[in-house]
Parts: sequence; C-alpha cells; structure tokens
Amino acid sequence: MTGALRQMFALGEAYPDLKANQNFLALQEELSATEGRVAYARQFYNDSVLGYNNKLQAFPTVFFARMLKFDRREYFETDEAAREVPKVQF
Amino acid sequence: MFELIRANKRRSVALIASFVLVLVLVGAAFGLLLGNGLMGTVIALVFAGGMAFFSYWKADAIALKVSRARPADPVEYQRLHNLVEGLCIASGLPKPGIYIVDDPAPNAFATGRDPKHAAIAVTTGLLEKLTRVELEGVLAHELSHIRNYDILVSTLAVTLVGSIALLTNMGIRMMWWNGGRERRSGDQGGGGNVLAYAGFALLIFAPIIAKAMQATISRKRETLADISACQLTRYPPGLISALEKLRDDVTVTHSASAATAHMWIEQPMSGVGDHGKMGKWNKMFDTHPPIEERIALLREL
Repeated sequence: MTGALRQMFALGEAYPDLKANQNFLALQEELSATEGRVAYARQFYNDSVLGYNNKLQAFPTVFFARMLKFDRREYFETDEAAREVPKVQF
Repeated sequence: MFELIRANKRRSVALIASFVLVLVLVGAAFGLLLGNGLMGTVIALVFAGGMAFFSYWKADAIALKVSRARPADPVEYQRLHNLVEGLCIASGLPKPGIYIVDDPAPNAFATGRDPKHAAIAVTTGLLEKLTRVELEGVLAHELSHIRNYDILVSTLAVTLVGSIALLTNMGIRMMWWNGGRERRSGDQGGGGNVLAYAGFALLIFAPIIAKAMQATISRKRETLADISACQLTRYPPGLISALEKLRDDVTVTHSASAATAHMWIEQPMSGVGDHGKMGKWNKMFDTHPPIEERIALLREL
C-alpha cells in the first residue's frame, strides 16, 4: 500500500500535468485515506489487545481473569505477503 | 504518554472535588447569614443544574448555531471526511457530524454530549492553511475532546460556578436587606463576628475563585486532548506544526464569542498574549494553556 502510494507520488512528479488533474488528486487522496484506514484499524486492534492484556495482569480484574481462565491475545502483525507492493496500473 | 493521560484525568477529578468543597463552604457561610444554609445550597444547585442540564442536552445544536456552522458536503470536503473516518477507526468512536464555519481564521471546535451525539466544526481558514498531516492532528485533538467527555466535564464546572455565583449573590443581597429578620445581628453584640467576617470574605471571593478553577479545568482538558490526539495519530509533529501555524496566524476568529471561546482549539479572542501589567492574574482566567507550553509538551513525547 505504502509502496503504491509512493509510486503514485513519483508519477505525479514525473508528469506535472497530472498533479493539476482533479481525478488524479482524488485518487491520490483516496489511496492516502485507505492506507490510513488500514493502519488505524490495525492500531485500534493492537491498542485493544494491549488494554485487554494489561487488565489480565492488573488488580482487581486479574482475579476474575484467573477464575474464568481468560487467555492473553496476540498482537496483529502483517505477514510478508501483505507488505508487498500492490501494482497501480494506468 | 499513558501516564500523562492518567495524571490529567486524576487532576480533573481532584479539581471537581475541590469545586464541590468551595460550594459547601459557601453554603456554610450562607447558612451563617440565614440560619439555614442547606436549603439555599440545594436551591442554587437545583437551579444552576437545571440550566446546565438544558444547555448540556442542546450543547451541539446551540454551539453550531452560534458559530454559524453548516454541514460539510462529503464530496466537496472529501479529505476532511476521510481523515475523520480514519481517526474514528483508530479510536473506535462513531463518526461525528462534520461542519464548516466560513471564517478565514484557522480554528476548530468539537461539541456534543456523548460520542453518539457529537460534532466537529472547522473553519474554512483551517482547511486552506493546514496540510493533510496537520489537519489530522487538529481533528485528532477535537475527537479526543469527544472521547474524553470534555463537554460533560465543562458542563459540570459551569453548573458549579453557576450555583456558587447564585448563592453568593443571594447572600450579599440578603445581608443588605438583613435577611428578612427584624433585629440586626449586631444588636446581639459580640460572638460569632470573626466567623461572620470570614463568611463575608468568602462570599466575595468565592465567585472569583470558582471562575479561576473553571479555567484551570479547561486548561487541563486541553492538555489532555493534545496528548490523546498523539495517541491516535502516533505522530506528534503533525499537531506541533499545526499549533505553530495557529500561533503565527494573526487572524481573529470572528465566529467565536466569549461564550464558546473555551471550545476552540486555539483561544479565539483578540488581545490574548498582551496581558500587560495584570498578565499573571489574567492568565488565571485563560481557558487554554499558552500555545508555547502546549508545543513544548508535545515535543517531549
């Protein structure tokens, strides 16, 4: 995603006409926003996991967690495939 | 960062608690004058509470109307909508209403009684002058106000200030007219005079103290919102450079009035900063911490 964005900005630099094009600007904005949404969703999940795991170990919730056998959760980490640059074709 | 957020919340609670204490003290002073202070305190509390509750319920509608805000068109203001949506995903909040205020001065405010009935308004000047990253920082600050229930906190403060003002007003006027009793307390001679003087002093100074405390709470909430904003964006430089731009901008926000001053991200009144001789005293009544201090704190994150 980040790669695709960089590709686009580079394209905008190479062809100055593109930067003035409304559709191009709109696409650029949409890509930035989508990238942001993905990152924020991951961040929200990881923040929640952090809060949850802290509660498991903290007073007084630790007693209930032990009693009801709540487990720790893993953080979300992207795998290699997801980090690959998607292709933006024009 | 998390420790700062916790410390700020603790301080807000402590301030509200001492607020109630001032109110009780004023009630006691009132009782000294009247013989039955409890009743007066209750009346003042109910009265101020009722007014505050109404404004709390209608806070968003009133604030938006006063500032002449109009709903932001999702197509025309695509970037604004996108940024707010992203931040809402990050914070797990529902998307608030988004409004535009036609004003060349860069500024923004948030309102609403809870995250489900919330709105964020930005000026056209803000949209023109800030970059995408800076705008995101400002929006995160506003969203943090919503998330931290700052409208609720300030309503609580306003209620307490209101009831203290009401009580002291009643008290001072009753002293003028002798509280409806036939004999002047002086007739009885001696005894309790020291207490009466203390009560009198309290009645005069309490409203001023209350006002200063309200301002302190407001300043604490601003700092809290700044830090929480960085917890959302994970990028303090965005908000820092936005605040720097707001600081360097000299346009006065015309859409803001004294009544809504505390809600904006930057104190919108003109003349802020040139306090002159009384500077230190006026600072006690500022609703926002100095912008330099806010930038310095964010730099430390």
